[in-house]
Amino acid sequence: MIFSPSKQEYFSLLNLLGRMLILLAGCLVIPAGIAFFLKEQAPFYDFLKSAFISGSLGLFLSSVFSYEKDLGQSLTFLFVALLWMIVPLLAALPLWFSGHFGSFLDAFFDSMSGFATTGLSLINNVDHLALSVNFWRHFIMFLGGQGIVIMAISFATKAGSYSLGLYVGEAREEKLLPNIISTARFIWAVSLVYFVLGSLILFGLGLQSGLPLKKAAFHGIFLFMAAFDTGGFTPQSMNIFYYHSFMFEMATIVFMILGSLNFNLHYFLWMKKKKEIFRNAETRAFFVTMSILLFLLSIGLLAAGTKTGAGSFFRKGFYQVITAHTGCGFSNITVSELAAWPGVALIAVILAMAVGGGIGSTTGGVKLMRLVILFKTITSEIKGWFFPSKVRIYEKYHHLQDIVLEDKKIRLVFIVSFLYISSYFWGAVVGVFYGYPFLAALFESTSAAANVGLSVGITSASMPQALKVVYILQMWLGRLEFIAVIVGLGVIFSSFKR
Amino acid sequence: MIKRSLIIASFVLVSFGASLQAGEVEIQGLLKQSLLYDNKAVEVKGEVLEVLERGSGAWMNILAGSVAMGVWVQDKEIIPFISYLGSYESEGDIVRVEGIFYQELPGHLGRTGIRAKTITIEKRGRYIERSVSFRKKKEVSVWAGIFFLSLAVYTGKSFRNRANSSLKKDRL
Repeated sequence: MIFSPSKQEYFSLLNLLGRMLILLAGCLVIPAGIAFFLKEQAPFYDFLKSAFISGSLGLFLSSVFSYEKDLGQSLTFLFVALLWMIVPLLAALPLWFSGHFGSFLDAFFDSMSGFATTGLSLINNVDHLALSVNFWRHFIMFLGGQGIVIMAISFATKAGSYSLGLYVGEAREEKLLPNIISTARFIWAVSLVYFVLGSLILFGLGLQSGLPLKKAAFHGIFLFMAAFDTGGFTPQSMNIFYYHSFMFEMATIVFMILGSLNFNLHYFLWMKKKKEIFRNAETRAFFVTMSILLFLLSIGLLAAGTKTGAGSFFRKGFYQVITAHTGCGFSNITVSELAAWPGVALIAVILAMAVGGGIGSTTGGVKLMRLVILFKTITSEIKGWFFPSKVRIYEKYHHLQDIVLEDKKIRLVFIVSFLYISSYFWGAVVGVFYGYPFLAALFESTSAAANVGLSVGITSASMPQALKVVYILQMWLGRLEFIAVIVGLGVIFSSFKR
Repeated sequence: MIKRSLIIASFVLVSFGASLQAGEVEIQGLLKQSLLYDNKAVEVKGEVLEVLERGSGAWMNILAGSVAMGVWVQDKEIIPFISYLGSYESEGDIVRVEGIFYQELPGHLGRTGIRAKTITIEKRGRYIERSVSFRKKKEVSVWAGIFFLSLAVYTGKSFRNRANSSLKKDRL
């Protein structure tokens, strides 16, 4: 039997949703201020209008529905799932008003891509986009990467009993500090320190690359937000190779890796427990998978006779694998170049995207910790074959402390990994249905579901509308790691059944 | 057999044509068939987005349609005076670039691009006049009205709730 929430709980949910929309309206005031400062008149009005719409809707919901009862765990999941659909819908308004999208669906696609930190884009003529609108594209990536709920919790003065449910629903599993509000604030504090440092570094490198002062400053901010939150939007159509700077590319690699690390590791680094980074199962797994995938990529490129020197291989090959593995989706080669890569090399990139980075980070995909647990489970089963049936083998892994594998955890890891892998495939099947080659369709589908953003050219404004909807759903499901959506749907279903 | 011969013949014809003189090429076509045009003389036309100076040389990013690419200029002196760069505020100057296309430009760690020999201005860019329509302003005013009305209702309700709860406390 599925627990069915009461009417009061639904009212509380709508009240909370309203408050979140008021918060979104507040966020929309920031790009409105930038547009005003830069004298971008039309975007200024567009942002104001969007803020008023979002704010009015939020105030209406909060006024009509009162907060009567704390949300139960299943309803917090429904709340998170709904929030992650409604906020991108409203955040798409200024993008749609900008006139750079063929339809509202395209603007919504970009908005969902931003919040889910994917980076796939259907925008037209991004090179002539207003700076304030470009700021909004990257800012939603920052908000989405940090977590919309995390942002709300960090503003709260007192944690409700539902706060932990919201936190978990947003695909974060571990608390860093005993109190959930302190955890949320710590995440924001660390991110803001990185934001200031990272933006300054990229600003300096932008100036060194030859960008004018204003552009270097804005691009530094945009690219830091996209790299650290493993988003992958860029302010220019040429992506990272707009800057023609090796140093710039190296700096983005550092921020991508930082963004793909488990936030617990950041906490340990900040607490000066640096040894943990070398002992942690996820960081070790990252080096192993990177080495295997780079080997696979080099075999693919060499076997196909692709003309690459060592420097060129490092710049192109290494960058694509790392950007795929961290889930960022920046690229220093063109879509045509990537699409022309041999099958084996593309498979290496697909695998990197499918795995993703650390659990509890901004990256998508199955995630390294789950890969470690899957691997440990399989090896422990194989070990069991060599011992008498009465012998029980305990497998351990190190993540902040030594942890013994438990059946409950293994089951959850298998379910989530299965859901990710099946999502990669059903997205590819839809792509094949629309006439795209299987490998290209799998590449794009994995990129959407694992929230990466690399493309071999399928994602464009002219792609079939149904495929856009499929990718939007994949980005949404992938960002929330399926659980919140499945539980949310279950709650709705049980309410109707009642 | 006939099919295979036709494919080989067309490939030879295309390659031969390209090796003679690629002529004016669309940037998108150039990047899609980079192997075919590698190390060949090409001519492209595009809007200047950026000029990034590097010592005595410079990178020039040009855009044609929805695709942009980099042009390496060994001696930046050959770049004519650029009045406008493509951005939100302006349409950039349109330039014609003649040079050699490389899948991997020598000395640039695998960077794809054109090494320019000559650059000429085809068309001057312009400042884009952008005005805000009366309709847009009217819509914002209407939504502002709705917002402030909702805010008044919300604030009123909050005050009433607070007053009620303090009344309850007093009675207790």
